[in-house]
Amino acid sequence: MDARRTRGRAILGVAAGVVLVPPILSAAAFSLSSRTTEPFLQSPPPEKGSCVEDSAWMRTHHMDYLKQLRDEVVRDGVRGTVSLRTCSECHVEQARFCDKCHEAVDLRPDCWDCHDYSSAEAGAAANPTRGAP
Amino acid sequence: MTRSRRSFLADAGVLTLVGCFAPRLLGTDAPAEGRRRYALLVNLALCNQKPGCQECRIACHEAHNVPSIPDPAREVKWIWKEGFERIFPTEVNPLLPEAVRDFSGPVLCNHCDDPPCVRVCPTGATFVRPDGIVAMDQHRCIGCRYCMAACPYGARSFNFQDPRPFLEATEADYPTRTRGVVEKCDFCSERLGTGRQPACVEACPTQALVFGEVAELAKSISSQRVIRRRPELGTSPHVFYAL
Repeated sequence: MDARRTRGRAILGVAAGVVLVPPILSAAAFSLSSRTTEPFLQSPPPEKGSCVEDSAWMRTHHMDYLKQLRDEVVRDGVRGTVSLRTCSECHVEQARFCDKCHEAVDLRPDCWDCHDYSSAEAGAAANPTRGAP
Repeated sequence: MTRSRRSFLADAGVLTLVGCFAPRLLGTDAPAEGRRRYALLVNLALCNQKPGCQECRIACHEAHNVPSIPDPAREVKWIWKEGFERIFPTEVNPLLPEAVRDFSGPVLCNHCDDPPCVRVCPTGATFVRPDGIVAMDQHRCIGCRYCMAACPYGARSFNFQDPRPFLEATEADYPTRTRGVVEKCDFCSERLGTGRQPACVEACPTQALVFGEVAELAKSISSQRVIRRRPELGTSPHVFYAL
């Protein structure tokens, strides 16, 4: 009787291990893999000063911030000093700024269908002192 | 506290009266003083001092990244030149001076007071600004083209394809459009925001275009007759043509 119960428990344990261990291992492997290294960029050179808002806040809320700017400009006709251009003055390369995070989270915003980041990149190429982001 | 039905009704009546007249007494429903209403005046006689001139169109289309698409079924235009008979088909009559009939002039969005395009837009992508400019919010345009069907002036163009391959040079400070949105003249709202005149007005070599508030435009009129396109539709266009 006891022997049967022990064997039953062993079988159950092995089955549980077979079911549970691979997902746990793969999750661990995934978290250690390069895909989850922080996709965020290094800060721009210090001579650029600070961002229009706190960097941590911008990481979370830049999309809402940009939409708010968009509505102010397009719908209310209030043209402030900040635009997408302001981003590109410090974060020169779109590929290492916008795209890097968006690709990491598989997001494809359509900003660049109309707006142009690349001319700022061209300006940076002509003036390398602006530095990489 | 008990109160009679009579006193409750009396108080309610007093409150209703106060609610009806308070805004008027306080002056809060009066139109804002000094509110601007922009308009464009086209002096056709001055415009025709240089026949065949395309400076307004070129300046506008360069400033706003309007593509040059050869296929007329797919072309995009904000401002372009037409002959008098095409601008004012109902104004042509046997006694019209031949010089006037031979005029050509620029046509563009009329920035109507009651724009049919705004009325039909299902997403609010096109809207009237407080200064009278009929503006487009490309972010909201879903490309249904109701506005194009509604506009009696044909002032709107649809992007049947990505316009970027059809741009010779790109004005970096102004976005292009994308496939599937409608676009049109917006009286250079981006320039007005920085205190500049519209691109067409700046480019006109004969000063035939005058832009400003409606009241001020009256000072610039030297001719006997100022007309608008299809006023019978009740849209109240705000592009004026001085004959």
